[in-house]
Amino acid sequence: MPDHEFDKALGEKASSLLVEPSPAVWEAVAARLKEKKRRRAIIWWFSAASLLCLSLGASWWWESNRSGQPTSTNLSDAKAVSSQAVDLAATAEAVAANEHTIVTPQKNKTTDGITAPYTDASSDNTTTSANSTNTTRFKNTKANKKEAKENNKEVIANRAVTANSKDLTANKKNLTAARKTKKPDHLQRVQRASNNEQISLQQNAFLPHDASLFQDQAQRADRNKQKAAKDLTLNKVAAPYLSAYLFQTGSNTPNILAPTGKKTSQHLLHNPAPEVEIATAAGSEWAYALDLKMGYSSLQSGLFESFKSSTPEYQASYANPGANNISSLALPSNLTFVQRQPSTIKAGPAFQAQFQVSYPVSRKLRIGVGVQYSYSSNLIKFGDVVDSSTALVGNRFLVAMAAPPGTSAKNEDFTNSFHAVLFPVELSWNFDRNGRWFLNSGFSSGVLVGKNAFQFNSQSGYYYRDDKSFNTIQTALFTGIYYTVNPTAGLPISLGPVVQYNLNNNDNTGGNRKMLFLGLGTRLKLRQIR
Amino acid sequence: MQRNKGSTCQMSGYMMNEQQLVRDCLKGKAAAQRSLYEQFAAQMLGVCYRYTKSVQDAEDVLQEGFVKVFQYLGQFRGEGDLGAWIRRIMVTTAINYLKKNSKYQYDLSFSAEDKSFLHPVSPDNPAITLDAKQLADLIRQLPPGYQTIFNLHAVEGFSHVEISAMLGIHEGTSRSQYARARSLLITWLQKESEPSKITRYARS
Repeated sequence: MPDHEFDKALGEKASSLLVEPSPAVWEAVAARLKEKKRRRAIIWWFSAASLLCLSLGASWWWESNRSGQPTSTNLSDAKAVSSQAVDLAATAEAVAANEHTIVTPQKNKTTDGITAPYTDASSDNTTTSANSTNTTRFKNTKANKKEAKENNKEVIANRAVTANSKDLTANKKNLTAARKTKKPDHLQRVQRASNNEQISLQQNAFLPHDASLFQDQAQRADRNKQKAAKDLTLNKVAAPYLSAYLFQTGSNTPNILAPTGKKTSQHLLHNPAPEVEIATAAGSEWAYALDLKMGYSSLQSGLFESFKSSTPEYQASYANPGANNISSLALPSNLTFVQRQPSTIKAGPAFQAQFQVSYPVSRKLRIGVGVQYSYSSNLIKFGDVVDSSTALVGNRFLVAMAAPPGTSAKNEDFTNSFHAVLFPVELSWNFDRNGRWFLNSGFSSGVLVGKNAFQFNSQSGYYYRDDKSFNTIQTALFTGIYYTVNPTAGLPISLGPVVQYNLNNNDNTGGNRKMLFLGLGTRLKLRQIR
Repeated sequence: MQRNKGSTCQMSGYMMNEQQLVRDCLKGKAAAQRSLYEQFAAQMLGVCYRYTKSVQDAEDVLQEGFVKVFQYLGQFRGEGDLGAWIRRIMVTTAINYLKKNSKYQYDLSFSAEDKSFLHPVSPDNPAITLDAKQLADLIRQLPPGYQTIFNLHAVEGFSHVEISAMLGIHEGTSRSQYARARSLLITWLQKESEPSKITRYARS
């Protein structure tokens, strides 16, 4: 037989071999196909969840960075954030009293840098609310409480006058009465400004009583300008003024700046797949892990709040007339406020590095303790609009934005940074069969070891430096969903979205802003217990 | 064994042509996957059997190979023979298995200097009277290097250039190894017929 024919016959004979495999082969193949299908589904879910978290984080970040329009609000902050809100309430009161329903958006430039965007094309008789503005405006400042009370009495007196008179003469009387009242210079100035403005309003058009505030701010700005050169830093200009007026921070010298607003190739048939025991197996030992989390942090008045309306504090006072002797005024029951947080605080980068030891509580649950270094930050920009307030009275919508006095340090970015050492206590729950998915939640507490940050005084709209006003003790709740990429490897790596929310306020100045961290966490398990 | 495109098969109560079978497998239907497996399993285990030294190893290769088949079935264009496509995957899987498995490592040294398996070449090619199983068993008795190259060239039809690329050896090495494997097989085939004579001599 020739060689090529022999080779061909040999090949054909050999290739015709049929050997029936044992049934276990198909079972092993089917099991692996099922595992691949399940893994693929998990990857899809994980991708979708990550995408969702990223979207939420991005929208939150965008929201917190958005400026120049109302975003999130908190009326508990309103007390501190804005005296303008109170002024607007007074405006609304006056509007309601005069039964004017049309609000004409007409911008009135009152003084340089100070704008009252909307005016009501109505009327008269605004003295009372203007004075109540003055009352409320300073009531949060201890130093001015007494003066506010005096002013309050004057308000009542003015109301009586106003009730009987709707013309210019009454306002002039009121102005006279105000001048007769013995008050500190700055209150007199405010009062005078209000009354002057009322007169001018009657001559022209209705201006919200907010204008009195703007007028006041304008006067302050003018006074600052007179005292300082154009490029003089506001620190020099406003520090003594503000320390007397607004701040009770306890700092030595407030540094004030003007705001601006494997493939598992186990051979199932002959080499049965080893039963993988995960790190959370009961009866195992201590496990050690390194965590690194990166993301963004920001001061939040409330988690994922966009708008919040509420009845202001003073409205409750009206509802309880005996307390403040102001029962004679009727306030619209449908008055609500919408106010945003200071627009100048934006999310900043943050990261956390952590070493942790954990011990099994049950087969699926581990408890761990660790030590964590946490860096968080937020961005502020000097020179933006301080804040805005919106009042809703029925179907009428009023909004005001105020720019603070001060001319220096405009449009400068600054990163408020905070360094903390925390001691987290974590419960880690494995909620799938293969030891891949973990829900890690817990509580951490520690101390703020370093900071380089400015405080925001929402009453005045100023940033100032006062390290003592920050809370040294930090507490937080955190949670995250981790997916372990390589559970059977020597050094398993898990990753997933994490969120941490501080339980205590960032500072002790009376605000209600807490630090929120959103990011991506990675965990390297240094010792996999088998 | 050549199969025509669109040929009909009936396994596990699953009757359809190959194209429909592939489509259903791609959809993840377990019945279709099982049908495909049952249609080709015996043939492919025969392939794996020739490349390995034990049935266990052959079934391991078969298992791994079918997982790959289902994993990459989307790459089958439907133009060629499905059996040939699966067979190619099985051969590749078998070679990878031999490379990874330590007990095949030592004998897979395709050294041209290795003279230990040199055998005299018989002047005549004997008649092949053995059945496929017997022939495969003879092939499996070859040293792994010879066995692999003989299977690749004589049975699968790969050229020595292709074999050299697949195994990462020199083309000349493939040729010489094949020649040695062939002569060894011829010697064994000749010996297969001799024992019967000896037996007869002994009885007589």
